[in-house]
Amino acid sequence: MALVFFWLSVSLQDRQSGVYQEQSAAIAISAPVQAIMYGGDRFLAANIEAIRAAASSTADEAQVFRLRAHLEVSRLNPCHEDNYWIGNAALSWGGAEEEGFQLLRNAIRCRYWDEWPAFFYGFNQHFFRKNIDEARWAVELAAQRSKANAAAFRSFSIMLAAGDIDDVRLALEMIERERDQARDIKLKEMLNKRAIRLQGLLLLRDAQARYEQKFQRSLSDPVDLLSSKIIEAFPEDPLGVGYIFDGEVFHLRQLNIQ
Amino acid sequence: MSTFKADFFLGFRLFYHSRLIAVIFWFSLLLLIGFYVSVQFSARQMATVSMDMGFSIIRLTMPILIVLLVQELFGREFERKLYLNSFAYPRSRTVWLLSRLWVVLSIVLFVLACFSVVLAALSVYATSLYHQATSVSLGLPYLITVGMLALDLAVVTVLAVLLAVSARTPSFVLLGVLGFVLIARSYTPLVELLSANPYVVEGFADPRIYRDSIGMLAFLLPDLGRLDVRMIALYNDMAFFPADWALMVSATLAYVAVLLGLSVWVLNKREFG
Repeated sequence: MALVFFWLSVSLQDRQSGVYQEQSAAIAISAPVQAIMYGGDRFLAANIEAIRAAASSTADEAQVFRLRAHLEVSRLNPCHEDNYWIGNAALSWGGAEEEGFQLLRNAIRCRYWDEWPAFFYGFNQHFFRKNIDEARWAVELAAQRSKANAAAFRSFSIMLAAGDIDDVRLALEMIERERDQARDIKLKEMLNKRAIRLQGLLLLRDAQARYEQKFQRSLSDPVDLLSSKIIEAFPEDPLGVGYIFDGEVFHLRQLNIQ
Repeated sequence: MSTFKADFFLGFRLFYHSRLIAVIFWFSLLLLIGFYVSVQFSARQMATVSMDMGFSIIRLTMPILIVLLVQELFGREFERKLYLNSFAYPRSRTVWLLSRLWVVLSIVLFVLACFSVVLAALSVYATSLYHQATSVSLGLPYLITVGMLALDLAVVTVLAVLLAVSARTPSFVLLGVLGFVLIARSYTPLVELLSANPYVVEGFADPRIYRDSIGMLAFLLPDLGRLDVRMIALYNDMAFFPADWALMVSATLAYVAVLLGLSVWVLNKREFG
C-alpha cells in the first residue's frame, strides 16, 4: 500500500518545473589519461569522447569543451570518421579554423584511402587562408584517392588556380546539405547556427558589392553600409563570434583560444 | 595414471552448477545494449562505431568472467579446504591444474566465439541501416582480430590461475588480474600518446625519460596493447596489421608458457596445513 502511494505521489509531482539549465561545464581530459581511464582501450575513449563532443550543448560556454574534445579524439583515434566530419563542421565553421586544420591533417594521414578529409582541408585552406598552393595540393590528393569524384575534384583544383570560386555560396551549400542530412537534433541545431553565420557573411559581401557598384568606390568603413541604407542592420552571428572587415573584404572572425 | 579426463568433466560440472551462466547472460545483454546505444549516436559510420564498442565491451567483460571462473574452479578449492580431498590421494597436481585450466580456457574461448558471432550479426544489421563509405570487414580481418583477442584472454587466464594458486586471500585474484590487464593493455598506447602530448608529464618529469621508462615495461609484461588490432576489421584494411605479428604472437605465447610453468611449480611446492 505504501509503495502504491509512493508511486502515485511521485507521478503527480511536477518534476519538470524549475529552470532547465543546459550542462555547460564539461571537462575534456587529455588523451593519455583517457587511455588509462578506459582500461587501456583508446578506441573506447575515442568513441565515448566523440559522442560527448557531438552531444554537447550548443551554448556558447560549451564551444571550448567541444573544441578540446574533438582534438582529444583526434589524438586517440585519428581515423575516427564521425570526429573529423562533425569536428570540421563544428570547429572550422565555428571560429576555430586552426584546430579544424589540425583535425583534418590527422585524418588525412590516418585515413589514407579517404578523399573527404583532404577535400575539406583544401577547401578550408582556400576559404580561410587563401593559401592556393596548400589548397591545390590537398584537392589533388583527394582526386587521387577518390574513384567517383576524381574529375570533379580536378576541375575544382583548376578553378582554385584561376581564382574563380564563389566559395561562400559553396560553403553554405555544403553546410546546409550536412544539416539536412543530420539525424540528431543537437547536431542539426549546431550546423544550423553555422549555416546562419555563413548566410550573414554572404549578406555582408553582397551588400559590399552593391555599395561598390552604386557609389563607384571601394568600401573603407563597414558603417558606411548602414549610413547609406544598403542594409538595415548588421547580421547577427548566432555563435557570437562575429565578422571582421579586413583588407577591404568581410571575413569570418576567428576565436581566440587560450 | 592420468586423471585429466575425469578432472575435466568434473570442472565442467562445477561450472554448470555455479551462477556463472547467469553472468554470461548479463554480459551478452550489456553487449546488445552497448551496441544499440552506439548506433544511435553515430552520424556517418554506425557499423564501425558499434563494432568498435562491441569489441571494447567484450575486452572489458571477459577478464571479469575469467576471474569469476578461476575463483569458482581454483579459489573455492583452497577456500573450502577441498584440497584435503582432491590432493589427499597420490595424484598429479600438475594434471589437476592443467585440466581445470583447460576447462576455464575452453569456456572462455567458447563464450568469446559466441560473442563474436553475435557481434558479427549485429554489424550486418548495422550495415543494413546506413551505407557507409568505408565498410567494416567480417572476413579474415575480423577473425584475426578475434584471434588476437583470444590470445590476450589466454594470457589473462593463465595469470589468474597463477594468482589463484599462490594467493592466500581470494580477493587478490580479482585485483591482481584487473591491475595487470589495465597496465599490460595501456602501456603501449600510453607511450605513443605521450610522444604526441609531452605536456601531460612535463610538470614533474622529463617526458622522454618517462616514456622510455614506461617502454621498459615491455620486458616485464606482455604487450597486450599491440594485440588489439581491431583497426583491420573496423576499416577493412590489412595495412593496419603490424608487420612483426609473428614475433608478437610468439612472444605472447612464450609469456603464457612462463606463467603456466610458474603456476605448476607454485602449486607443487605449496604446503597445505
